[in-house]
Amino acid sequence: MTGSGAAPGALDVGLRGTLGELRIEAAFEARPGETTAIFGPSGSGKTTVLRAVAGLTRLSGRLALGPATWQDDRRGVFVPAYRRRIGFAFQEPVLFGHLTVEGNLRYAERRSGEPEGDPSVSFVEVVERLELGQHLERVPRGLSGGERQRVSLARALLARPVALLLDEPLSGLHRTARAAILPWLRTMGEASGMVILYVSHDLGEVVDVAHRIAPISGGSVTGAAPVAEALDRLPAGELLSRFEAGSVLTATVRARLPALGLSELDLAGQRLRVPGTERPAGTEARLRVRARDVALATQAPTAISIRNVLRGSVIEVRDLPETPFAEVAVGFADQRLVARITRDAAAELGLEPGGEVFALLKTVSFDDA
Amino acid sequence: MSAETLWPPIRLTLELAGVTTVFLLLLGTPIAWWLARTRFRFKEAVAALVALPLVLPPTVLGFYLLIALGPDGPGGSVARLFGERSLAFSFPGLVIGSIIYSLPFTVQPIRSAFEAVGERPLEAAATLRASPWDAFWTVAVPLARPGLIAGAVLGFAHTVGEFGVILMIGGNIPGATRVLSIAIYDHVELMEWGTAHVLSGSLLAFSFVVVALTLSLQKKMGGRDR
Repeated sequence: MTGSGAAPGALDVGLRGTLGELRIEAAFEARPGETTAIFGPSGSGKTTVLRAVAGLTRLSGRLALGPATWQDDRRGVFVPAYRRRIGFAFQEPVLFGHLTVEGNLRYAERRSGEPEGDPSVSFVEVVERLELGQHLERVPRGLSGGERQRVSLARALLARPVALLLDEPLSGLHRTARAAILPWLRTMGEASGMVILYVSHDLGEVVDVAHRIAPISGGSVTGAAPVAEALDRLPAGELLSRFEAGSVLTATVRARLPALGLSELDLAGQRLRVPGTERPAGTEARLRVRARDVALATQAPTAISIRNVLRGSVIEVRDLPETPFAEVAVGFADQRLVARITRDAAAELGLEPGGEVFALLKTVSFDDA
Repeated sequence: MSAETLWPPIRLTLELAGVTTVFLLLLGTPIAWWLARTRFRFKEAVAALVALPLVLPPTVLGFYLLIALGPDGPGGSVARLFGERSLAFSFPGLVIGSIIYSLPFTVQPIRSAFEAVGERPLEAAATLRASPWDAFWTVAVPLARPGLIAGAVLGFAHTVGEFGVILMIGGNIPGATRVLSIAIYDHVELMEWGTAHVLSGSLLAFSFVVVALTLSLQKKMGGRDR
């Protein structure tokens, strides 16, 4: 943040409470400049945790953002929502019906305490990125669901928060629109040093926007881990049954091959071909690979239909309890990939940590495709 | 029938209704806000107290007010501070009586409007660093505006049409407490049908406009998107 006096710091959450049937237990840290996704199925308490961080719902415990203590029950501290430097986008956008779209945005800007503002979060920039230019004079009543969500997100940003709290803020948007907004949001968070908490049950969305994932289930969220690591762990947990295990890889687009409908990418010096040609050469892309779409070989395979073969080394082999499967984590430079194969196959191949292995990727997709 | 006989009661009535409406909004809005948002267990008892003048015969209300405003009541004590003997049979007395009598007509539409606004816009305002006071004026009041207008219009109109309470506490002092409805009564008593017709007809037209205005406002409010 520029000259706001609000030094960015980590958001330190230690809250618990009961909401109806659900026991909420939230203990995690979200770092400045990072987007932390609170990820879990509906009814798992995501929204409650977010509302408690905002000060809209009261749980007990301790909550601090950097040097600012927002709640500390032992010292009787509870800073009301309107004194917390937050921005909040509700899942069901709550726009002010008596104001135009611009009026809604200016309402936030006027109270942000930074009339000049952080140039990375300027009115013009936000309006342009969220494609609101042609809607500024309209009233909320006439807006579509997706438009309302974009206004709501823009308004939260223009409050120039130190902690940006987003509750499924783009659930009403099409994938393509989302894919354009999420990387920008992530980059903007990095540039401004904001803490972004992003609540979602959509794995694709989470992977696109988040640096870290804090999985939540049954009201309990007890830590955030880097995306790759969190995804890697997902299949073992209870939440996994609902989501597909997979990995995220980061690669650079080398060339587009429109005649084939493919893009050629570079991943740690190795070459991949992935369907889709939207991304310009030189840009970074995130790829998603489902664990069950990865096969392993201990020798370079020849004469097969699979085009994407990556050479790496085994990091670990982990049995999935009560299933015939094992998950094998394979590393390439600083990235990792998880393959789900049968335990039988793992044993027969003699996979050991450190051993060389070839990962055959049956399907790779751009993360937003 | 002349301007001198017609005008004083009309002017007094408009003054009384105007002053009363200002006080009704100042007093009724916070009561409506409180009733719309409190979780106080006995809030409906408070609401019933406010609504009591709806069902109470005006003479009963007027009787108690007469005692309260008279020389031996609290109104008398207040009056003595200003060198008067009593608040009864005075313009301030009429204002106090009218406020109590018309309060439910102002509070009810405003309360409904605040309830319709709900908690969420105020939460949104809080996340945008609007203090409760700020959010009240910049979010709750504008969103509840049709209800506030309806409350003001109904309070004004109800005060204009008041008869029984005023007769009890104000009497019939020309220029001081002789309002329109009482003037009409007098003209009828004196068989001055022409004057009674003019005044009654005006009041009828006025009332029709008020009711039509209020209904259209409420319709507009019902169709409002939040």
